[in-house]
Amino acid sequence: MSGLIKKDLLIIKANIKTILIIAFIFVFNSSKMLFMLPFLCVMFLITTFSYDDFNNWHAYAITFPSGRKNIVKSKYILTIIIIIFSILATGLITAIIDHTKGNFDFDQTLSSLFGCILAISIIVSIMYPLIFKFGVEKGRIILFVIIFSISLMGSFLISSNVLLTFLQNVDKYAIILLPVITISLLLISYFISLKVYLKKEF
Amino acid sequence: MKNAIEVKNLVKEYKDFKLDNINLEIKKGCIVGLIGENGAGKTTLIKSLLNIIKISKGNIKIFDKDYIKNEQIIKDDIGVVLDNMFFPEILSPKDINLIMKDIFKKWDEQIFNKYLKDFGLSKNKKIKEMSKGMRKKLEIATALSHHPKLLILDEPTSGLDPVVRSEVLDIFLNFIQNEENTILLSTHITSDLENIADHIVFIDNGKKVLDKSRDDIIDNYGILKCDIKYFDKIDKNDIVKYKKNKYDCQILVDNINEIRNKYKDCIIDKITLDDLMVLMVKGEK
Repeated sequence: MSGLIKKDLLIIKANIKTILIIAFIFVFNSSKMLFMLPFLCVMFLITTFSYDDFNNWHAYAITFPSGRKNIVKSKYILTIIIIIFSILATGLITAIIDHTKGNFDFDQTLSSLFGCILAISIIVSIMYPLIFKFGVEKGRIILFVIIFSISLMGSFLISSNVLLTFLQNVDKYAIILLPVITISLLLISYFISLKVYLKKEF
Repeated sequence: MKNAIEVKNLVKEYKDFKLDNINLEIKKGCIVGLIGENGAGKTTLIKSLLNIIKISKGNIKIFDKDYIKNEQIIKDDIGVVLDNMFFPEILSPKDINLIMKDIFKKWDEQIFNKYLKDFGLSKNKKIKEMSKGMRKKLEIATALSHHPKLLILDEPTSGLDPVVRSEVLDIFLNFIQNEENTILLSTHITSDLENIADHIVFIDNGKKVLDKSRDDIIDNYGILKCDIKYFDKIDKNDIVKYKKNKYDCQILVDNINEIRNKYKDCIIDKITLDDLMVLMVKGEK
């Protein structure tokens, strides 16, 4: 399976210039924009799926001894690695920049990072099963519809104040809740993807 | 182990196409050529063997083992070249080497590098910058570099010029020299098969219509060409398939020596696989 993860890392490496350029633009703009970095990384994870689809990699990879299960698993493991790495990098850079400016707020940075992790986990968990089922192109359209309906629902919840009171209460337990929520989201998503992928034909 | 691949009553149904009850035995140590029209089911058969698509019915054994239950063990010993299915094109041969090292137990970096050199492929060139022929060569090099026992190749020589094609065919011939290794390849370039295949399997419209050794086909099949008026004089039992033109007709026969004695005033030519394919598909019975 390490070979499969390596393949995606090499694709990301081939795109590294673009990632770094965009990252620098963010940093020079404003350190608050840095929180876009993890989302950017997820975007590049999704481009690995695009390359896969474009060259029918999946059909080819199935002829390897790795097996279908590991093809799915490798994507999720890579995603977790990338999330951890990008969050750590973002936190570190933010801390350094804010510290030199003398306005570093530990609690705020931490909660922003937590927010990032949660948002990314939700996006990934919804998106991957869709991509495994429909491919990147079709999956993207379906994701758009889903995000649109979620945000519609969200704006309704916010306007009705239900979510706000909920979030205020949840904040205290965030450190315990966050890993639990993130891991269960990704696990559920993984099992759905796996079920889809084991049956899929190429 | 006598057979590298054993297929029993394989059925794969699509809405508009059916691979119909295919039985196939591919003996160890052979090169077996799979021929047929575009859309006849060659790729469907190959994809079924590799579990890229799920079969509707039937039974497949590779190296005497069930192809699903022992999938991982089996696939360690299979090398493939598939039509339009390969590594993401942003990667280079160097990347492929790094990846394959972790995928196949027996991946041989030295052999891979040797093939790259023999084929004149640069290690750092991205696949997307390669010509179609270079990509094919890279795919073949990749398929051969983990010391597989079975090669499953879908159109491996398409896009290659005659010089490289003969080079590749030599590699294939070399590959089966040890009598342990086996090759199943599909192709449109039937002259390749006339040179290297031991056995020909012909699929038409999802059905297997011919499964014979190359020598059997070359020695016994022929085309009888005669005037259209003469057609009625020919015994119907001697006709495998026939094709009538305006003035003459071509008749496919499967026992050329007897036919030569029987119809002494007709021209009877030896068959090429191309003619065989055309007559089998387009000819009437």
